[in-house]
Amino acid sequence: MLFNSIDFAIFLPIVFILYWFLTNNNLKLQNLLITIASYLFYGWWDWRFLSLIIFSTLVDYSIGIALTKQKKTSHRKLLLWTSILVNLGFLGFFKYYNFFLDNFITAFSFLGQDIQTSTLNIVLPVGISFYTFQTLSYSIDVYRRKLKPTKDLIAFSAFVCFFPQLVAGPIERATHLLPQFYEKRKFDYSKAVDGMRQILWGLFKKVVIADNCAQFANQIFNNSDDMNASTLILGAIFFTFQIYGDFSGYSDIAIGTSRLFGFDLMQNFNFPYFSRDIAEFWRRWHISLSTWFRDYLYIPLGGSRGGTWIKIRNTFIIFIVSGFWHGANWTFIIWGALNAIYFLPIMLTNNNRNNLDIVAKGKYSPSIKEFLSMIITFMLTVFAWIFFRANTLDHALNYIAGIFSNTLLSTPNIENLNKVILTLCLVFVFILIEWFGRTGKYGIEKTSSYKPVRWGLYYFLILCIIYFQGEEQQFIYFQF
Amino acid sequence: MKQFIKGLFFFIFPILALFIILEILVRDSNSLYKEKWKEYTAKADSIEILVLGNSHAMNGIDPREFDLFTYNMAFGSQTIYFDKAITLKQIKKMPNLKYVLVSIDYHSLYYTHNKARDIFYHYYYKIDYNKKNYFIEDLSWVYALGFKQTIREHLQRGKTNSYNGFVPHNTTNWSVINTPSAEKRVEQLEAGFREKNNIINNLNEFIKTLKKEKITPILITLPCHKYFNENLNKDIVNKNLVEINKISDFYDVPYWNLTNKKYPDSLFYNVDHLNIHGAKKISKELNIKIQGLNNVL
Repeated sequence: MLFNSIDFAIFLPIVFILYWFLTNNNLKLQNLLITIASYLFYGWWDWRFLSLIIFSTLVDYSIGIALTKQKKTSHRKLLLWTSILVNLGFLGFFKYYNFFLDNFITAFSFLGQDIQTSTLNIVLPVGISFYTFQTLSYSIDVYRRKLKPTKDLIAFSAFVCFFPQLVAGPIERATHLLPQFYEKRKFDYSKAVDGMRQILWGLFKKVVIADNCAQFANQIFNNSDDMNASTLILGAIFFTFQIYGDFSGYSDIAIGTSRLFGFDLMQNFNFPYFSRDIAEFWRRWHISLSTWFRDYLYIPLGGSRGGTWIKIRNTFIIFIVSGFWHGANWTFIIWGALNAIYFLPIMLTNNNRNNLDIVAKGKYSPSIKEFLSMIITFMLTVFAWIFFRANTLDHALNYIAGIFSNTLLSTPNIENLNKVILTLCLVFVFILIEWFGRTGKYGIEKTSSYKPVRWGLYYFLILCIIYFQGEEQQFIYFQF
Repeated sequence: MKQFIKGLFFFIFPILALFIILEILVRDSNSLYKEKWKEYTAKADSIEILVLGNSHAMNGIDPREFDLFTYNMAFGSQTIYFDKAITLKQIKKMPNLKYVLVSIDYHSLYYTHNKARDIFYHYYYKIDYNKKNYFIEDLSWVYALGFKQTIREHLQRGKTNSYNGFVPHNTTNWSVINTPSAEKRVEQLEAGFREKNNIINNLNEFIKTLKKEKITPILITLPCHKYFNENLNKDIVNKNLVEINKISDFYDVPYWNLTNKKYPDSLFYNVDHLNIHGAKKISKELNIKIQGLNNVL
């Protein structure tokens, strides 16, 4: 079920009413309702893959309980590895089987060995990368004794399949989300209003910004051989806003929806395109994944402790794994590696924690230095997104070669230039709103305290959603 | 909770009001579909020749040039499925119907329906493609048509300049009479190609029914500009000819292929549509051919 579909528009109020009016604030009933609603939400897409979530839930629930009973470190380790292997096994099979097989065949053909085998036609279950990481966080934290395992199967099931963030995050840490399922939840007016506001902002980002940009990004990337350099740059910029609008829009809707049910999810995006360096960008982009890798991969590998080579190794590992998490394609690996290359000089010169606060805090506009830093970081990001969006490495390299051709100063050769200009105007409005709202958790969190202005903005956003909605596109992160 | 629901209600109320106003306007507003159906049903008992097909026929056959009373029920992207349904729905109310002109063009045998337009047949003709359920679309036309479509096009549409269903293009759009435009147009048409077996079955059934009702079906292919013809896939053109001739021979119905003759550029609106002058000329030719049939019959 898509957040921007009529199905969800019917589903959400029904679940909301049942949750607050029918359960009589009974925690067990509320958790049960969330579990059933979440299974329905997921099964709407393909009910067969529900079995994977249920199996994963049961495995991690059982391992969590077994971990408390085991005192021996070797046995505890064995249990943890069982959880890791089961979860990553599913992920590996559904997401990476064909990739490894293809590369295995190619590698052997280089050595003069022809291997006759065929790839499988595997459907990737929506959201598998997200809920796998979420359940893994539970097993690891229980193993590390950071979290007491739950005996409440319903609460644990609700934690694993919580519908607002089931298919595209934020990837919640068990230590943060699971305890919320044990606490009595009462309806909180300000939380619910804030949730509605964040849903509205998320819908605007998705339907107006991402879907409109997608139309041109797709057109340009799919016909990149026929496009001149200026059009290719435009295509990369459109994709840059498409992916941000799409993914952060989804996160906003997820967080907002959770708030309607009394839950707090972690912030997943924090105005990443206003970053002044790549380190800051990565503290602001897909925060739930970056911190997951930091806590469960980077730090166990030694983090930034140790010698220079260890730091370099760990940085490359975390960025490449992060790229690979996005998809079984060399383009994602190169995208990750490229970000590691951007990040290394900053880290090696100990400048990676220079920009912890939001840019130009307390001011209307940035200084020239801040502005230039933001532009350079933005350009580096746009460049890296080319690898992310391209279908193959060749496609990405040809795209980049096209950008550096002698047509750089020519006018864009794209159809429907009026709509391109309109979309750019919408993006500009979006940037402005984000800029003035950058001290909040999302663009319109802190709008005017004067009600008519606030409501005026909301109506403006709703009208934009209605009138400027782009052609419906599936959320990009569903494929991850 | 009460405060939340109250606030939500007050916030949503203006949007809801706007929505309801649009809903009323859109249901009440004029559209070419609405206009054509109204006229078609009102004039049913006078119709002697019925023209069917897609925009080629809608823009290219002028009922005023025929001696017999003619109504043009062709429409942009109309497929054989709807040609058949439109005729059969009213057939008992058309006692004078003698000829049904069915325009079969390059793409006609490959188009089952056009998803975006099916809803118009449901709303205005009460014809549903393959008995599709339109529960949500009936609840809200604005939702089904889309706000943009509703506001931009539907409400802006005044009374259309049509005569007995014929919607003419008054001039030639010279900027699109060229090879690139033709290539693009052919590409557009081919992008929508689907499996053709069902379509041919539909055509067969349609012809059988018409013959049973003592109505003569006439298959026609209207002329297109040479740039368009040059860009067509020759295999598809030949296959179409084989199929149409087979049907024509089997049921002993006339097939008039007008694509072989060369017509001047000034008769076209674009590479695959005639303008008002082209429509006049072609309609005259068709009228003469029908007179010939009349004499034989």
